[in-house]
Amino acid sequence: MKKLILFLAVAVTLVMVGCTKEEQVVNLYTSRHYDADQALLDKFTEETGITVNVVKDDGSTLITRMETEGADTEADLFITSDAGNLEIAKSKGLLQSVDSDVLNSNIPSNLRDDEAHWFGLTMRARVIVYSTERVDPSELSTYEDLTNEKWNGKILVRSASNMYNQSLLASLVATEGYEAAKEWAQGVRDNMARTPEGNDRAQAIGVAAGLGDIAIMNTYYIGKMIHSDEEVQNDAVEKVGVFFPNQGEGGTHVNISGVALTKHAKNVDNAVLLMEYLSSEEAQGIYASTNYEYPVNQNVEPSELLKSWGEFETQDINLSLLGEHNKDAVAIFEEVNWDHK
Amino acid sequence: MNNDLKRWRMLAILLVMIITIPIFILLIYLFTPNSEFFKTIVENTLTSYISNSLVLGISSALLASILGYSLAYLTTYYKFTLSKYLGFLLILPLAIPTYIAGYTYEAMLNYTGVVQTTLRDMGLEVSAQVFDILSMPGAIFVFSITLYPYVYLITKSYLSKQTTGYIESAKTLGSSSFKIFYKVILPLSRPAIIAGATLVLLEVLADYAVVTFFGIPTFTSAIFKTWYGLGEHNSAIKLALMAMVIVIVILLLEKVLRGRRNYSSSSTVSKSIKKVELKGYKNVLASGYSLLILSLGFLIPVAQQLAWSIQTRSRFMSVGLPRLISTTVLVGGIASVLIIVVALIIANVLRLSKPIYRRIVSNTVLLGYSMSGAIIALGVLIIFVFVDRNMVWFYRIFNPNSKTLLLTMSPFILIFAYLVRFLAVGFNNIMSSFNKMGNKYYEASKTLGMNTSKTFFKVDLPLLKLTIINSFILVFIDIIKEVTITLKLRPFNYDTLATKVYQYATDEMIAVASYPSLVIIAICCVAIIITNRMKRGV
Repeated sequence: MKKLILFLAVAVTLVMVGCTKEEQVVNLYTSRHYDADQALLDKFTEETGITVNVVKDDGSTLITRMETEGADTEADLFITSDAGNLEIAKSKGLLQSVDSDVLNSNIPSNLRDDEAHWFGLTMRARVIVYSTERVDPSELSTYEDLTNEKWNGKILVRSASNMYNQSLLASLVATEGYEAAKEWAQGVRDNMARTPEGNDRAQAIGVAAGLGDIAIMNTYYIGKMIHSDEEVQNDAVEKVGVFFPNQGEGGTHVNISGVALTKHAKNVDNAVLLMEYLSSEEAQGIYASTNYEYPVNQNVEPSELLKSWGEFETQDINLSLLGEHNKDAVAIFEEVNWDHK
Repeated sequence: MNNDLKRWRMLAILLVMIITIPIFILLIYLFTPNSEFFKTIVENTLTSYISNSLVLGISSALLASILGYSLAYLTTYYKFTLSKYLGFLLILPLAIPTYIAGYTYEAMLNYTGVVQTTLRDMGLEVSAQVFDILSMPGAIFVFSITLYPYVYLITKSYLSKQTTGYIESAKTLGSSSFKIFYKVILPLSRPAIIAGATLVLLEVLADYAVVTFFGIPTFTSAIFKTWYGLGEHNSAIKLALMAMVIVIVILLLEKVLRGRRNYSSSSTVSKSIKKVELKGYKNVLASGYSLLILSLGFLIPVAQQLAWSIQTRSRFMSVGLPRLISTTVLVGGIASVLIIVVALIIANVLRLSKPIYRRIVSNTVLLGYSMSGAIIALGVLIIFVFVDRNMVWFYRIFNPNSKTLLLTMSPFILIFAYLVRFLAVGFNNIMSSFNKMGNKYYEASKTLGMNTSKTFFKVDLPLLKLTIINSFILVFIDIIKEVTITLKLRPFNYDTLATKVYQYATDEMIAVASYPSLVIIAICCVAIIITNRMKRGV
């Protein structure tokens, strides 16, 4: 029995060790889980012959995983769908800077880290959607206005555990201070039509269904609802309008998806190649057309749908502040009982 | 004591230690300083998190017990229309992962779902609030309708094996059938009901996917908020350990409730039960009730999934099912076999030990099942990284270029984590069968000069065949449905059916998720059908 176990153990080890082929690879830890991303990576492999290995999970668990793995980590690149986690990874010393002319020219300086530890890949705006039947868009103005009594019992928004909400609140902490941000969160909570439930799309559907009049959600979900295979989603999204808040008053909150080179990357050259590819016009075009995100590369146009909403003023803050104030945001949501009755 | 038994003991102790290391390693986090946020949570919302968890867990376990036990009772003792098929079909809701049932019911009942659109087409104005399932009662419904088969399976096998002798005695003594149920069958079934209810309770307490989607702030969501929102895994682990303490208290209470009563089979050969044939309205009620539960727990969600899969058929090829299926079944199968082997070894040793050891080990093994998968994943990750770092010299004998984290980045880490998490499912079943069997065969075999190993292979295994098959299926189904651990520990380019469902669902593409969902359901159904066949053969 013991001999058998030993034999099996050795055999398994041999097989596993033998399996490591010598090939060009780049290893990716990513929290983006879209089919569009996989298509992009496949294209990269086709063009360069470099295999891309992927682990997908939440940004925060990937950070914990990299911390635990330490210098032995296999991850070369770290991609998240929010600036907050990039900044947290940076502050934990998990990233390193990249000096690349390609990246610097493809990505505007306000969408990458001052110390070149991370680079934005796409942008999404957190907007207000409203019922075209019951709300006149002239009634809408700013995020701050959502605490106004006139919205009492009319606002739909998802849970505090959602990163997009955390980033929005973090941006308010950064621009207006902790107390003001807390008052805002309290005000929105008091105006909620229901305790937070469901995802972003569910909020838009809720507005269409008349559960509330306005909702906070991300732009790219609207694109996805319009092009959904499900007719019912197409119908629901027709009943809502998109409003970019805070125009002329600080700008609409945007967040980024971004990429970073890990401190202990073992395939640095391949990793930088992939970073550059993802910022290229070809890749940015795919992000824009299939995932309805705003490209960061200024040579690439957003999709027709996004263009139809027109240009808008974006919130003018250093994105690294989102990571810095994320803890405050999570704490405020707890203090105001955002998710609780 | 002979050497053979000693070897068994050593092996069992070693196994228990290896399996519990990832849980105990987390205890070191208790000694890290409390963060600001941890204090914020404790001061503001902790009681609300705890009470939500308890309300959800206990209500679901209660409702699942009522459903499961009533159905087991009906199908064991009575004959009614379709009862022959229902006895088997009623297990099937187990094939549907709770999160899939949750997503499906929400999508069916929301404004764009089939229920409200149909009503609107019929010209009826409906208030959207009426159909809002994303609430505490909604979650209790989803959990109990998908998890009641735990109670159903355990109590059904218990009822059909254990009770005949007692019932006959009661009948001989002239008791009425209600009195027999109330005074004899129900008290006799209590341990089995509690065993099933405990599984339901633990499964609910460890859930993350459903409660997040339903917007119910339970203890798990507090754990994840701290971890994901703040990157504070220290605080998250502390909260998880607090949850563990609560679970231990519940388990101890359960032991007290169950009392010291222990029934062993009144006769060595249990006689088959003579089923009573129901007629008239009783017949209609019994089969109507069973069909209703079957529809809610299985037929309706599956029908909706099928409708979605037809709707999104253009995406069928992009899902990549063949590879998902082979990975899921292969890794799930290996892990399930391993779990059953380990459970058998530990249980075989424990039945010869003092009851106190039995209780300690049973509860320790349960810890893995009661903790959130993500927390177990972290403990397992820490251990594997440690092992890899200390073993790299060995790997490099075979391959000088071997990476350090060889095991950490392989499916073995998943198999081990599944073992830690799901051992309780297999172990509980096997241990209770050993207990029921008692030690009389073992002693007889000893008297005939066979040692522990020989007895185990020649006597115990054949006797336990049915339990082993049952346990294997339960474990296998659990692993196939598992998503959290797989997400946290998977190697590169590793996807299972469940992670794919989760990916589409979080990407808010619930209709596309129908392909992997349906395959999960189909695999689980096949597994259930195979066991059923084999059982009849035994």
